[in-house]
Amino acid sequence: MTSSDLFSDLRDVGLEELQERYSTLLEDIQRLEGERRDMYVAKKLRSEVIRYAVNKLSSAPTIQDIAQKDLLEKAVAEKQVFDQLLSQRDELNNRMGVPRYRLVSTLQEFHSRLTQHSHHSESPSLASEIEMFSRYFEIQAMIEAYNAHRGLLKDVENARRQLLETVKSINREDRKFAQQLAANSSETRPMRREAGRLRAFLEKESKRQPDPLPDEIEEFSLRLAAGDSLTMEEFSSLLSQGGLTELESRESPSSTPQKKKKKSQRRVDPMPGRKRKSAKK
Amino acid sequence: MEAKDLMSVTPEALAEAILRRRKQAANHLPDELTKRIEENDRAYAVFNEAKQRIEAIEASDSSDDDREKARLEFEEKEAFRRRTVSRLWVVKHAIKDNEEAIEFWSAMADENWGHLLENAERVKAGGASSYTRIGEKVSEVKE
Repeated sequence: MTSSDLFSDLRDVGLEELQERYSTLLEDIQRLEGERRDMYVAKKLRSEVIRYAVNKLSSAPTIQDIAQKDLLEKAVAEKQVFDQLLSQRDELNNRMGVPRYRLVSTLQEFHSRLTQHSHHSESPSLASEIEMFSRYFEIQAMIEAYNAHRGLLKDVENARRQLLETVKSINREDRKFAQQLAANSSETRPMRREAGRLRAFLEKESKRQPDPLPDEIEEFSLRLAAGDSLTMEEFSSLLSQGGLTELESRESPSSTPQKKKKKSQRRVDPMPGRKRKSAKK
Repeated sequence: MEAKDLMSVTPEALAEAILRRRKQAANHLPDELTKRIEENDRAYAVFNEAKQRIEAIEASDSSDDDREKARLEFEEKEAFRRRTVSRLWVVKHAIKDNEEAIEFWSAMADENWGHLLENAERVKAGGASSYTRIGEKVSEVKE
């Protein structure tokens, strides 16, 4: 396709109308690009919120004023609650040092060894009895502490589930978001192409109109060509506008014919290809 | 015993249960001691016999086979003697430990448990368990 074909539909339209069409198109593109930029900011923020929710980011991202920010704010708040509950649970576990299920079995074992009759060679010594007696009531207190925090474990589990659901919702929204981004991209692409075409045409049209010499200079040229003389002022004015060179260039077409440029002839003979190197050694 | 029942056991009840078991053991330990003394006496008797035999064989011109048999028999009796001595000491130690335990647990209830409930009280007050404290000490030593 030649350039003339590309602009064929524009030739019959006025330059002003084309200029206006071009400006409108640029505004639309800018608007869409702005929307696209906002979408990218939102996308990044969503990604950061998800990373924060799954512990891959240590601090919560700042939620900007974007679309569907409620969901993101909800996720951040839920993560903070979850972290708080986790730290309470960890604090309890650190304080106890032994998980609850092991405490119950140890309590049973101690009670049995302290109270059940066994062969004298297997029965605990007084020192062991004292140790087990002391531990028995400590374990009782530990189990009571665990029982007092049993609600905490449920709360941790609930908070975890809730956060997971919110993250899933954000992911679902993200898929919609990706579709919107793709739509924005496909909407902008033809507009950019059209704007480029209009700009190219307008630039081409603006170059086509050369600056005409002032009438006075035209007159001087004609007079000089006719062999008349010029005053010093007229001669100075002529020099400032391009001088005698301009005059020669105007005369030259008739006297010296332009040489035709030689077109470089390109060989289109088949060329031998490069030898392929074998992958096997 | 169910976990719920284990949680309701009091120090008094547990000490009483320990004392009950200890007193039960105190009833049959003397019989056990008698048995072990008899066993030890028997072991000494057979050990002495084997010892005299091997001394006699070594003094005579007995064959190597006879000497070997006598040596093996002596070693067997010697091992038996050592086992009975060990078993006798275990019973004697159990009797002594039992007497001390009965004395200790009888006195402890009256002395309000002394330091025995310190760990439990600390955990109840929101402190760390002895398991955690031991773990922390081990970490400090490693560092």
